[in-house]
Amino acid sequence: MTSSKLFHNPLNTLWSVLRTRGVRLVIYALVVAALFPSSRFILLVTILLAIGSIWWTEYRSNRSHKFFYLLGFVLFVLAGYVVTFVNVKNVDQLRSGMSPWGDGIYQVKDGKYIGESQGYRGPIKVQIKVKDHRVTSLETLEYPDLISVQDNEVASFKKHLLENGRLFIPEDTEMLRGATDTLTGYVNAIQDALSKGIPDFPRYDWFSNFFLNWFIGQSPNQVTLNALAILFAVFMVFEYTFQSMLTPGTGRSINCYNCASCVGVCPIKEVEGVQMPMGLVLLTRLGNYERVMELSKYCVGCGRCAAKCPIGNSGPMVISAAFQAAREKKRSAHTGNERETA
Amino acid sequence: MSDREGPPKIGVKRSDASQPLVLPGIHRYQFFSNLKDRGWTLNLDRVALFGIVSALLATVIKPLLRGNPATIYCYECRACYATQDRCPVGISLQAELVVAGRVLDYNRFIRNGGLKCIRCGNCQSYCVQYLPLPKMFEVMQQETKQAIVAGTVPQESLAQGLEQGLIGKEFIDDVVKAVS
Amino acid sequence: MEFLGYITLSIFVGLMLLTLFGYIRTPVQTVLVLSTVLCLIVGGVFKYIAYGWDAVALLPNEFLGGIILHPITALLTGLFLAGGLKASGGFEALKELLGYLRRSPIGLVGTLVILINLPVISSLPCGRILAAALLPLLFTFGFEGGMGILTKSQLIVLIGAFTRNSMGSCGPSPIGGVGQIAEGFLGSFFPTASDGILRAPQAFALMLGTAIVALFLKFVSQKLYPNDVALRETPPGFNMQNRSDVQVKAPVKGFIALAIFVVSLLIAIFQPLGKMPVQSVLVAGALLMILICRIHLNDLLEGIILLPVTAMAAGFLAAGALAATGGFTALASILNSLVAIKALGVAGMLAIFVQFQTILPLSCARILTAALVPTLYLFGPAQFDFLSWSQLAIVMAAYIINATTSCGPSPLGGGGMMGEGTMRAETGFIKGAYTFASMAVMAPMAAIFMKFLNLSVFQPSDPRFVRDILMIGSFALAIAGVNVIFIFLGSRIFNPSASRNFLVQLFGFLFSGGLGGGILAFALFEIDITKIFQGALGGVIAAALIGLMVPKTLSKRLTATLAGPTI
Repeated sequence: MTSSKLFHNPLNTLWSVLRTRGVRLVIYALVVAALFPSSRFILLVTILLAIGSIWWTEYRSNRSHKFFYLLGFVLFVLAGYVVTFVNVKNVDQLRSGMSPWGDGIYQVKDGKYIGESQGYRGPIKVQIKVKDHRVTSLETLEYPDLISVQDNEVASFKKHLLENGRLFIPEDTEMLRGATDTLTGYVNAIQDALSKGIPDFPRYDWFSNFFLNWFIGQSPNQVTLNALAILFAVFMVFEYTFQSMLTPGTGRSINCYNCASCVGVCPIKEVEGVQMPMGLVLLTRLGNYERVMELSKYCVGCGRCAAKCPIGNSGPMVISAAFQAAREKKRSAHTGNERETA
Repeated sequence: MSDREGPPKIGVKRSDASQPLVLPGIHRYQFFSNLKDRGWTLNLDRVALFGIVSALLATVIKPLLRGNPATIYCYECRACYATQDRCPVGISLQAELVVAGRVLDYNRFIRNGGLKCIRCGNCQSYCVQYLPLPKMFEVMQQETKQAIVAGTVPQESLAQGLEQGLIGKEFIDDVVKAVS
Repeated sequence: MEFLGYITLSIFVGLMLLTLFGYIRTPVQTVLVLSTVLCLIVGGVFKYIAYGWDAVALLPNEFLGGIILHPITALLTGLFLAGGLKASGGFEALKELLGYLRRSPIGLVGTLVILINLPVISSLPCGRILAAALLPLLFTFGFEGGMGILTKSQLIVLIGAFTRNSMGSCGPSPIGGVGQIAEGFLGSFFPTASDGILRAPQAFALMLGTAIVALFLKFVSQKLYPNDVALRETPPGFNMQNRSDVQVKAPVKGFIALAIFVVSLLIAIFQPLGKMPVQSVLVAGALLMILICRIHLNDLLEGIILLPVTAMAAGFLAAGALAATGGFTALASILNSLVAIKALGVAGMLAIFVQFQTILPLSCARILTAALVPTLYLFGPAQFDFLSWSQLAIVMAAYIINATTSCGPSPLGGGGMMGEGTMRAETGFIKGAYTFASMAVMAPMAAIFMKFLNLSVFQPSDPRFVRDILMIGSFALAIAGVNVIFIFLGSRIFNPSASRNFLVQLFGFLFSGGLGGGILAFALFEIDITKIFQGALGGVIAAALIGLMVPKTLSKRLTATLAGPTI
């Protein structure tokens, strides 16, 4: 049914889809996931949990099978995770026996190799030349962390590497002091390049690669969690104002001061624990139009609040817009059901 | 039925979405507040509010995307000003550098001596939250360098920085090239 | 270029004053955005003439630098937590706890006093968080609310005092409070200033100020505006005994939510698990509430009070635009020229500067504080050298308490309006009480507290605690006593003529303002007669500006709006 609607009236359907909060939340999650790869794992878990809890209640009410599809998906992901975990562990064990560090350089064949790794601010790419089991030249292709090549740790590490001709943990402890992401990334890039020169160096299989890239992403750390917390807060307040921007007539509700001046002059003042009419305006802002429709029957529409409002909002105008939104929603649901039965 | 044959319609139709729906037994004029003041600000207020919130969103996302997330958490309490003489290159307003890093304000960054910072980390020990100040400065220095090379930083601020000795030796070549 | 600063400053102040007096009737955020845009246009034209396009292209980044992100995000996360608490019944749990307290030996009065001071005790980053949740509870103590324990006059005093306390509680808050904007500045001299050098003076002055507000509301405001509170008096035959024993039963998850709330606040303040941002802790607490207390995401959203967030952001934008175009430099030079006036001098200028935010009350204190505190810092040893470090700390304490409390009396959607709505009063009913307390009691009290106790705590070379505490006690008695006498005597000579009452009140303001300015000057320069007189003069000028802005009568406003030509 939805697809036929989409076919006949694409713009309107998209508009109504955009006006549901759940869809927007998923969109925000997708945006964040696209921007910050390290947050993907957490977001995936959150979305799965949310959908799972919704479909579980659906299952309990009308035995809908959606929940089991989700369960199947989760089981697939879990199984994939286990397979990947085993594979990665195996490969890592094999790798440690064939590490290009130190004397491992003797396994590396002569030639030019390009290695890649993640630095602090992006991918680092290096090219090394190996001849007679010595690293003879080292070239930095991509290096977004560049500040000054002359006098930082990376430069001295490079010097060290070319002097020895192989990867060694430097004896100079001064160099490890900073232990920055940049240095680690650089060393990893060199290691990656060298490992390409080792014949039959163990690699992850395609399944593990697929999983690592798409389902696990980078491991979440404290920085990611903090960033997610702050993004959550800001996206939520954005969403909060967006809701009333999308529903015609309710936009003025985001200007409400919460000052309760209108409550003072309202002849009703309080109904079912909601302060009239401020509570209704706030419910409108929240997007809870059904509740507004329920409670609006108490409004006498005297307009005192409109005269009192310090910013000139009109309570009844906002409330009636919300009323209309709720009624439209109900009507469209009704007609939709009718069509389905027909 | 009365709709078809009755007197001509006055005012708005009930189905007109742009008009408020009238709650039962209520006149429409009661809903309007001070129309004289309201007329020209019908959309301005909420659009302004929405703009503010969007600006907030942009301000948060931008430093996160540029790999400088720690700048968001700065209290701007200026506790780092206590570094004073302990700063080897004599930067006195560290918090300004953090703010400049957050919003990509090259001018402010150069003016407060950001380009001469050697990232020693002395100021970090004064930070209330122990934010990684040197790292934040490093990222911003990199951005500024790119901007200088691209030529988007105004000549005046660069020239002023050179005059007052606010450019560190790592950047002096680029700055001289950009100014000349 | 100097000229540009004066232009933008006058644009900003002019727009703000027009809004305050009701000539521009739009939300304050719109006006702030308007001022930002105007300043940027003017600044852009000037910069284009002086420096060319590149400087203009960088202007947006420059004014975005005005945004102080931490208080905004900390406030947002605090609001989420409060929303979760509300939805899961945490406030019912609080009510139940207060009910136990009422039946304990503390009794009703003690419970109410604790309730009034609850905002300072919990000190959240914005007073509205608690006020939005607890004002309906306070309302239930009256006849209309159901319990009928308190009379109309008592309820007005209770609500007014509570609102005052919550609207000042954002000052001493250690998680994104207003005071934090200033504390770090003092860290250049006092090594541990960031641990809260301004917190104790603010909390102390706030508690005293709350008491003065209660007295003022009782004796002055209710006589000045006798017909402007629409609350109903308890009828004589009302049996309160039966009603007052209505039991509030809170669900278990409410108590759990309350525990989560308290624990996450404590973690955010004391950071026992290592340094982490306040926001992360609070969001984690809110999400924990979703998981444990079975609430929805909508409930968290319901907690958001949009005004402080947007007003703050818009204010920061406006302040950023002013700073980018040199407006605050112009302000600093204006203040500097005030010093040159013989009759005012440094003490008089500071006495006016300290009251600046009470004179120009905006809906959030941070709007101006973020810009004016650096100006104040420049008065210290950093640039102009009018003040030494400890004097700077004293002025800072007085300024910050005045600034944080300025959102109470603001008619632009300040927090005090929440109280007015709850006590069914006209807008402006509490303005006199709030501005009086800020001006006459809180600022000098914070200065005295800072001078005699706090400085020796943060600079432990000279600990004479007993003498200092006695000193503070005597000053507190003196300040509070004199003001109480003013309030009491003033209320005696009130009569039905509104303009005469207004004059009497204005004289009270002038006297108390002069006294406050004098005490401030004493705290700064000790016994120096000329300085004290200069301070008193500055205080009188500030008090005149404040007192003249307190409305004479209120009732006419509503009738004018209802029957006037505007409809």
